[in-house]
Amino acid sequence: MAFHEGKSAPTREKRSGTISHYHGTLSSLIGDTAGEEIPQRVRTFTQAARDDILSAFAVLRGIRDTAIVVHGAAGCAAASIALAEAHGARWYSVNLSERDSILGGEAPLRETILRAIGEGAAAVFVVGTPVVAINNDDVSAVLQELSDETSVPILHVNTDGFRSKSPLTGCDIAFHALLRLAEEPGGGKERGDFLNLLAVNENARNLAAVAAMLEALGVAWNFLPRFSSPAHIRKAGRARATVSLNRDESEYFGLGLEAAFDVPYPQLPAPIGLEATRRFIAGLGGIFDAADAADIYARQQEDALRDVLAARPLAGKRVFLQVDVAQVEGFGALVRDLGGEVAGVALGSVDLNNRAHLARLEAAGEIPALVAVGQPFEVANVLARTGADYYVGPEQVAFAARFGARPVSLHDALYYGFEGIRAFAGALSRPVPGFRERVREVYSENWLKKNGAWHVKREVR
Amino acid sequence: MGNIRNPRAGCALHGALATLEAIEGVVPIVQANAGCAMQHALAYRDRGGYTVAQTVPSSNIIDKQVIFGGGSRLREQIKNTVKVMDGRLYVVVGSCECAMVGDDLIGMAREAAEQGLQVIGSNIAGFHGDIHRGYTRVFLDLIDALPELETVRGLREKGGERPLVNLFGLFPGGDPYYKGDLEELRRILEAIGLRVNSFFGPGGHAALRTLSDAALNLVFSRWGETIAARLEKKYGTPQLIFDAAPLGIEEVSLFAQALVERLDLDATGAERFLEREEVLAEYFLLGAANRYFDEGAGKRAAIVGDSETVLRIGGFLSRFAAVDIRTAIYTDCGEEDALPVDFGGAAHATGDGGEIADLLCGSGADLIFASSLETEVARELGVPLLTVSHPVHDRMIGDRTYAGLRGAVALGADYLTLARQGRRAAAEKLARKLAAG
Repeated sequence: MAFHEGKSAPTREKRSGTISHYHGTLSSLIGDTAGEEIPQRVRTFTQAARDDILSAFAVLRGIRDTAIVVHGAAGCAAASIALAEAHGARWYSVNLSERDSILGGEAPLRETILRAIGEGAAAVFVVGTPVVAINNDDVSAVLQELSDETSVPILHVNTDGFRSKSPLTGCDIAFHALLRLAEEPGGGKERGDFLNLLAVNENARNLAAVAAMLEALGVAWNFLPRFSSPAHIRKAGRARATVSLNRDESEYFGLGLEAAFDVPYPQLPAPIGLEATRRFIAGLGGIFDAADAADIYARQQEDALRDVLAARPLAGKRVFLQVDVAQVEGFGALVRDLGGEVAGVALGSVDLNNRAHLARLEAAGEIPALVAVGQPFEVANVLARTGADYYVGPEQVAFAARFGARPVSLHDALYYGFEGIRAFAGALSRPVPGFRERVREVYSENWLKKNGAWHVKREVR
Repeated sequence: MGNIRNPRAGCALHGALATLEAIEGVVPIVQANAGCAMQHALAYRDRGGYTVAQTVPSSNIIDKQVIFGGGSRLREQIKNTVKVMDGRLYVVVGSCECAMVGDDLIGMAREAAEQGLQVIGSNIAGFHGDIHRGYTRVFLDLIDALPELETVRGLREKGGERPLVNLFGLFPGGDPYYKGDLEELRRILEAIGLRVNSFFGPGGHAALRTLSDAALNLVFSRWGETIAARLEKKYGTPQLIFDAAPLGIEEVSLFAQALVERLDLDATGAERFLEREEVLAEYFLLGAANRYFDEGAGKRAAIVGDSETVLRIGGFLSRFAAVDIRTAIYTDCGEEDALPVDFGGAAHATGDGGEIADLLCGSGADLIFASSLETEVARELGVPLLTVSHPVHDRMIGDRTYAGLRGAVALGADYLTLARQGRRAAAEKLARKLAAG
C-alpha cells in the first residue's frame, strides 16, 4: 500500500527519519545524515514550538469556500486570529468543555460540521487536537454518518499535537486529506496543460514573483493550497506536472499525486539566488517544451541584475541563516552571489531525504549548524558565541540585534526569482533602527556562555 | 458552551499566559504539547499592545509522556528553565492534556521550591474557560502560592505615608489597551495621593511581593471580583468594585471622590488635580465642539467587546457624544449571565463571529466599535470601525488609552475621526449616484 492510502500520514520520524534537534557543524551534520538512520537527540529544555496542528492549519487556511473545524477546546483554534485569511477557509471551534473531555465530543462535533455545511462550506476539514486524541473520540463514526447525509466532502485531518516532534508531520496529514479531493483524469476531464505549484507558507509577494516567471514562459498554473479552492484541488490530478516551492512542506502531496494519478513530480530547487532560479526556470522550460524561452528569459533577467551583483553588498560580511532545508542551498548561494559568506545555519528539521541538499553545502565546511525547530534560545546561544554581521530569519528576528547582527526578516520579504535577488540585496542595505541596542534579552548570561548542547541527551530506545 | 465561528478569546491557559508574560520578572513554564503555547503566541503576537514572543518555556510533551505521565519531563524542564531564562519568579501552568493525564504539576513546582527555586504552580487547563477565566484563575493561584516562597514571606512592606492600592480586572486579552489604561489610572491615583500596584509592566514582580500590603483593592471588571474577595479573606484587604474603569471627567471625579472618602485622603489635593484636568480636557475636547454638532453628535453605533470594554466605552459615547448605542454585544457573558446594560437599544451575549456579524448587519449602525475580527463585516456594510476590543491587529497601540481623562480625549478624537470617515463615505456614495443620473 502506498503511504498516502492509509487512514492518515505517518509521522515524519517514521517516514523519513526526521530529526528536530542537532547541534554541531555543517560537516558533522552531513556525516551524521550519511547513514541509514540519523541519531535522535532529546532536549531537556524546550520552548513553545509549532506542532502538527499548526502546520495542518497552514496547509488548509488558504482554501476558500471550505471550513476548518477544530475539534478541541476553544484555545486549540486560537491561532486562527493570526492565520485566518480574508479569502481563505472559514474557521470553527467545536469549543469542547471539561465535561466533553470526559463524556466525549462527538455530539458537538456533529453539530459544528452541520453548521459549517449549513453556512455554505463546499468541503469541511475536521482537525484533531490532543483532547480528542487522549479521549479517543470516534471521529470516523461521526464523519461516516454525516457523509451518508450530505454530498459535501468531510475530511478528517488526524492531527493530535503530540505524536511527532516535527511540525511537518502536520503538513503531510493535511495533504493526506487533500489527496482524497483530487480527481483522476478521464470521464471528460482529461489531463490539462497546467502546472500544480505547491505553496504553503510562501507570502503573496513571492508567489507573485513565481507567477511572473510562469507567465513569461506561457505556463498556466494551479497554486495549491494557498489561494486555491476545492475546484483547484480536484483538478490537481490532471496537471502536466507538480512542482514544490518548498519541498520540505509539500512533498507528500506531490508524491501522492504522482503515485495516484501519474502526475510527474520533478525535483526543482526553490528559486532563491541566481543558480537555483536558473535551474528552476530551466526545469519548467523542460516540462513545458519551452526550453528556449526559459533560456532567453533567464539571460534577460540576469543581465538586468548586473548592477546588483557587481555592488557586492555583502563583501566581507558573515551571514547567519535560519531557513528550511529546502531553502538553505539557495540562500547560501545568494549570500555568496552578493559577496558574503555563510556564518552558520539553523534549519527547521532535517531528514534522510535532505542528504543531497546538505551535500551541496559541503564547501561551507566547519560552520555551526543547528536543527532548532521553534527553539530560539539555541540560535541565541550560537549567535552570542560565534557572532555574525547579519541574521536572516523567518520572523521574530529582533533578538539578533542584541548580539550585534543586523536582523533581516523574511516574514513579508520578496526573495524568490530574479526579482527576489534585487529585493534581498535592498533589504540588506536598509537602515537599522536606533533602538537595536535596547532589544530586551530574555536569556541568562549563563546560558549564552554555555555549550549549546548542554541541555541535550541521546534518545534511549 | 456551543461551537464558535472565528474564535476570538483563546482558552484559560492563554489567559493565564497573557497575564504571566505581562508581569515583569515572571516566566511561565507550560506543561503541554508544543502547540498549546504557540497557539497563544500566534494569537497574541503582533496584536496591538501585547508583549508576546515565541520564547515561552514549554515541556512540549509527546505521546510517551501522554501515556506514561509527564512528571519527570516537567521536573527537568523546571530545573533547566531556571538556568536558561532570566526570571525572578517561575510559574508552572497546566493544559488540557496535563489535566486529562493527571500530571501533578503543583507537586513538581513545590518540589522545586523546596530546593530554593522561585517556582509555583497553577493547575489550569484550556477547557476551564476563556482568557478571562484564565486571568482570574492564575491570579488566585499566585495569591495562594506566593506566601510559600521565602522571598515573599517577611519582605512585605507595611505602612508608608501614602496608601497602596492594587488594581484588578484590566488585563491583556481582556483589554487590548491595558498598558495605557493602567498607566492612566496610575497617573490619576498617584495625583490624588496613592501608591499603585498595577502588576503589569515595569516593577511587576515587586508589585506581586507587596500585594498583601494594599489598603484597598480596586476592581474594574467582573473578572477581578473573585481575586479581590480572596485577598479580603486572606489579608483582610477591603475592596471597591466598579463595573468598568472610569472614563471622562464626570466618571473620574466620582471615582476620585469615592477613594478620598474611603481612604481619608486629602480632598483639596484631589480637587485641585481634577480642576486642572477638567480645564485640559475641555481645552482638547471642546475645541472640536462645532464638529460634534456638524457631523458627530447622535450617531447610531454598535459596540462589541467584553463587558468592561462595552460598559466603559459605550457609556462614555452615549453620555458625552450622545451616541445612540443600537446594539451592545457582550463577548464574555454566557447564557446564564444577566446582561449588564442595553443603553436603550438591544443587548446580546455572544462571542461567535457569525452571530456577531449577523447582529451588526441588522443593527443599522453608522459606526462600529469592535475588534479587528469585525473588519470584514464593517467593510461589507461600508461602516467605519474603531477597534476597541480584543483582538486588535490593525494598529499599534503603544501607550494609547481609552480610560481616565486622557482616554476621554483620545476616544473623543477617534470618535470624531470615525464620524467624519463615515460622513465622507456616505457623501461619496451619494455623489456617485447623482453623477450617474
